[in-house]
Amino acid sequence: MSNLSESFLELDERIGAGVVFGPKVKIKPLWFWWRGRKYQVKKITYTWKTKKGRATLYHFAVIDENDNLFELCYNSESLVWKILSSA
Amino acid sequence: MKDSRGPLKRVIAHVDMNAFFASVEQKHNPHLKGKPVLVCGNPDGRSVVATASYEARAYGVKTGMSLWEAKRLCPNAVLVQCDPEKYVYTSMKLLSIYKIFTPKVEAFSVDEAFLDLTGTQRLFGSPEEIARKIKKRIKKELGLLCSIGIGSNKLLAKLASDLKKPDGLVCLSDEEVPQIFEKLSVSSLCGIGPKLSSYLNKLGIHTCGDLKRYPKEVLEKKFGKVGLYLSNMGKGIGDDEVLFYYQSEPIKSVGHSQTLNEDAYSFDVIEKLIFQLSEQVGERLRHYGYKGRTVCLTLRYSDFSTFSKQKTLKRFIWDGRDIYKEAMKIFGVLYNGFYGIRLAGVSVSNLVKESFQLSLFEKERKKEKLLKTIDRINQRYGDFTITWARLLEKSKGGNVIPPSWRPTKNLVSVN
Repeated sequence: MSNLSESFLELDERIGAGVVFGPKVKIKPLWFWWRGRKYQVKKITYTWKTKKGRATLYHFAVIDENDNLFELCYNSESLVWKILSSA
Repeated sequence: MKDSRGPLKRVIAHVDMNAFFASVEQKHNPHLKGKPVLVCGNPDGRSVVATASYEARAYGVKTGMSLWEAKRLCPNAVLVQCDPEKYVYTSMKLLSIYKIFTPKVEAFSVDEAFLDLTGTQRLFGSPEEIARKIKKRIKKELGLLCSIGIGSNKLLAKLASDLKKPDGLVCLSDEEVPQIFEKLSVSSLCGIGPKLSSYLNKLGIHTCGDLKRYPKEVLEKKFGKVGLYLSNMGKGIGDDEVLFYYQSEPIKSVGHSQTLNEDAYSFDVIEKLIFQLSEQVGERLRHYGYKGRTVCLTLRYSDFSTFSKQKTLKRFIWDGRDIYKEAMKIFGVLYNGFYGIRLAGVSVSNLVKESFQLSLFEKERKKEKLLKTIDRINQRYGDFTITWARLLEKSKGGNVIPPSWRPTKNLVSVN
């Protein structure tokens, strides 16, 4: 994510996430814990994939109940969820 | 393609994504919807507008405009930094949609593609119907809009897609061509840029009609083979060969360039940048399995003057350090020492496919082994995971997708 609004924060922090790994929609984050707070994912606005070496990184642009935008990222090798930005 | 009734008439479609990068960002961040958005390389640096949303275009902002000029025209614009990986992924998704309708899909750039729809009508309907289906699918799956042009060759298809934006669908029949071309400016044709257009204007050629009537022999004399091509363009005749999505033009050169965030005057900074670019070129050469023997260095100074110089070696190389050594020799000749460096580029051409023949000398064999090991580690853990100590702090420039971008074979499949 790269929106350069004043509230934009570039991050690289591990998070806990509640996720559905399903056959139809392969990976769907439902909520995540970040800095001691739980955020409910209201909508996934965009998804894309990148590669880092052998690992596939699944990126999700999500909006929470308060219409805040976040970019979450799941690493298929390390199985780690991260938050990469908030706006 | 032939059947009993003779050759099938070619049907080529050109799909052009509307304000692609900005539309992707507006989809990504719904708060940007309806707002003027400028996607740029580096908003803090001397970047240019990579794409402006239609809302920003209403203020007169254009692609390629410097950021300060764009902000002057549209002070409320929201700046969004270019995210090439996101756009490349989206582009691959688009290609996978096109592939449903025809295997002949040629990526023209990250946001444009040609589709050969010849012979697909029995499966999917008329070209217009197919175009509508493609538009519907793109909107449903990606939430993006595109303009599609249909014609009997690439030139006409591309022109047709430019005629209505955004969200257009224009079919240009061969019968309509003479009438439309009569008053159409030559600069509207794909392949005729500002320089060529200005040259043609000096010859009295302003419209495609003028171009059609201009003596072919004179054009050929002035432009060589291109002259013949130009003459045909004036008649609406163009290339109609669309490559299969898994085909690609043979690689002629491998290069990397970078615009610095600020002009570099320090020899250390410039030398390090050339080393980094050489390493990137070397890594890509090895990845494609090529070695080359012509090294080219390009420098753009702070006054925007640009110079390139190349050197052809007796041996073929693919080690970044060898490329760097040669590039620095060129640098010694090329650099004027007065201006700061704005951009540097390193490329290697005169390529041959590596035969993987073992070297006779142990030193060379060790070097090859080391390179292969470094490449394997970087392929496993990501670029520059292991690199030379001097490159631990990589130079950062703007994020851009070069116009020459084409999908690589391993990128063709996207789930």
